[in-house]
Amino acid sequence: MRGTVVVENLTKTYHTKQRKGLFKSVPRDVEALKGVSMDVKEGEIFGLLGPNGAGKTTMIKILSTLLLPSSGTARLNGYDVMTDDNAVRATVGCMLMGDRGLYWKLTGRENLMYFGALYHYSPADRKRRAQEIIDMLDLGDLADRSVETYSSGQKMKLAFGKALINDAPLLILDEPTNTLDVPSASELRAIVRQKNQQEGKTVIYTTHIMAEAETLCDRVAIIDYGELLAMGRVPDLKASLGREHITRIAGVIPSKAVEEVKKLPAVSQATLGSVDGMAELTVMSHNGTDTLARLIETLSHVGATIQKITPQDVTLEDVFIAKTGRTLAENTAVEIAAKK
Amino acid sequence: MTAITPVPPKATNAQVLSTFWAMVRKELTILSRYPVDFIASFAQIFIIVSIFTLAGLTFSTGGAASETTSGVVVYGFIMFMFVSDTLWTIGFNVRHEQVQGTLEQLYLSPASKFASLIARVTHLLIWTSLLSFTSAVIMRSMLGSLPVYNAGRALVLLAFILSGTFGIGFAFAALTLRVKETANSLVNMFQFVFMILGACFFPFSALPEWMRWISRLIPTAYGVDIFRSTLMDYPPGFPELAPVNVEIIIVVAFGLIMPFVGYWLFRRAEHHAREKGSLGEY
Repeated sequence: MRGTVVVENLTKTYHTKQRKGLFKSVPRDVEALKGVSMDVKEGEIFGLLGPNGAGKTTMIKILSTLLLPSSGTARLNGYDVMTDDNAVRATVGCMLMGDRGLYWKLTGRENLMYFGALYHYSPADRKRRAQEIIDMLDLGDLADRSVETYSSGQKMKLAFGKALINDAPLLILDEPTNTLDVPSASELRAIVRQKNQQEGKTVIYTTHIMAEAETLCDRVAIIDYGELLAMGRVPDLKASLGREHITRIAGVIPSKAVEEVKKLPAVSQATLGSVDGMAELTVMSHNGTDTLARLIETLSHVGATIQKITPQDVTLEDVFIAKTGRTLAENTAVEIAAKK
Repeated sequence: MTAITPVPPKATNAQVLSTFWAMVRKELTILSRYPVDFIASFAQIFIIVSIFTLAGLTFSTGGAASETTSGVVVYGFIMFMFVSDTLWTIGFNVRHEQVQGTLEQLYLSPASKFASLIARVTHLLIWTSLLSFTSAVIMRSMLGSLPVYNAGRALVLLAFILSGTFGIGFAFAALTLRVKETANSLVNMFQFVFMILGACFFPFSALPEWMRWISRLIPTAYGVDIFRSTLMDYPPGFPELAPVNVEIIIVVAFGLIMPFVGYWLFRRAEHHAREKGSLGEY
């Protein structure tokens, strides 16, 4: 059970109030998780994917014992988040809020040593462990400067280091590459991979960057509106789309084009997003070549100006679109209460 | 089948103490990074005590009366500092960490939450003790008289009063978790009420009778009364709210019961925050 996570029928409903005028408010229930079951195996990197408000932060907060579920169970490393919360905390390393959660008036080293103390390390062990992390993350030059002087990328790196302080078999990393520049993000992913491959650490990794999940994760779960829509190995999920053809059409495309395109018989899904400031229509169809002509005709009909048509291989983003009917960039606000 | 991850054995008392000290040291380190605040707090206290004492002496007749005046003001103010630190700092600190995001970090670790509550104010108590002692010495040399009797008994009573106010501090921290920023306004109001009804800068006899009756409902008011009366060796008319033995019983009971009540309230608020997901709310 070391390094494993078993989640069964987990639900979370937030009881909130909706303001109606100056003094009135009405109770409102928000279902952030609707009976989610999933498992993470020892030694794998497991991606939890979904747009903002999908329910992934709620899931992560429950797994890290910060939030109590409404019903269902979750066991990490064999320990129940409800009844053995301290055992869960002792055996999991978490990075949940990016660079929040650091003491800005303390130095990086002082932060690491303080967090080491929270896991009951002796003063000598705190010192040793902090130095190991400083060396591992190449924070040597920064270690003895106060955190308030760090760039946001450097703070993220230190926050990641904090998650490693207790050398736990299971790491929970919530969007760890947020605010990192490309080389730093790549470096952090390399360290995650190294921790996984060389030390056998299990990693739960949430992200909304599909390419990141595709390159890093052994398995992923797609979650949206509090429901688990798909779970499996990335190649298997891609294969689950069968013989779908993906066509991306860039240009000036009015939003009504989506509905018109969806009416075409061979089209299974269509979403409109934007890339580099240009509208991009992603269309999944059972018969790419035959559909293309009708697609162009339909788009002309609704007044679209087509600049580029690109047939593409299936990506994880396409799996996401197929399962949710929207792109990952489209945000929902279901989980604002949980985010804050 | 793989083995269950061994949980690090339950922390020993020495480990809990070491973690507690790390928490206190963290607070002291942060405080030391604001050197101007550090110095200003000392100057501020010295100025306030001087103003009240000198004003009081203007109206006193000298001799034993002036000794009583300085005792009432200096010890009342010392008590005010200790009680204020303990009452509000825990809640403010919890809120500050909630905003900063570090409160969630604490809850991600197996560290004792009780120790963390105490640690939030320990550094201030150390600082206030130092300030109190220094200001008492300075006031004594300035005024030429400051009664110091029954110091041991006064310290024991102070321990019970602080224990009780810790309890109220826990309860206030619980309230802070619930109402967040609104707690600030409540503190402003209660601090003022406590300053008046606790008679920190004047004797209770200066209060109108109806106010004195309200004071009798506030345990910390007995704390102020018995602490300074003890240090002044119970001059005529002191303690003012009740006979010595009654005040001692009230203060001891307050010190023994209130921490449990306060911590119980805090645990409830903490549970509520974990249900709502508001530990990191800002």
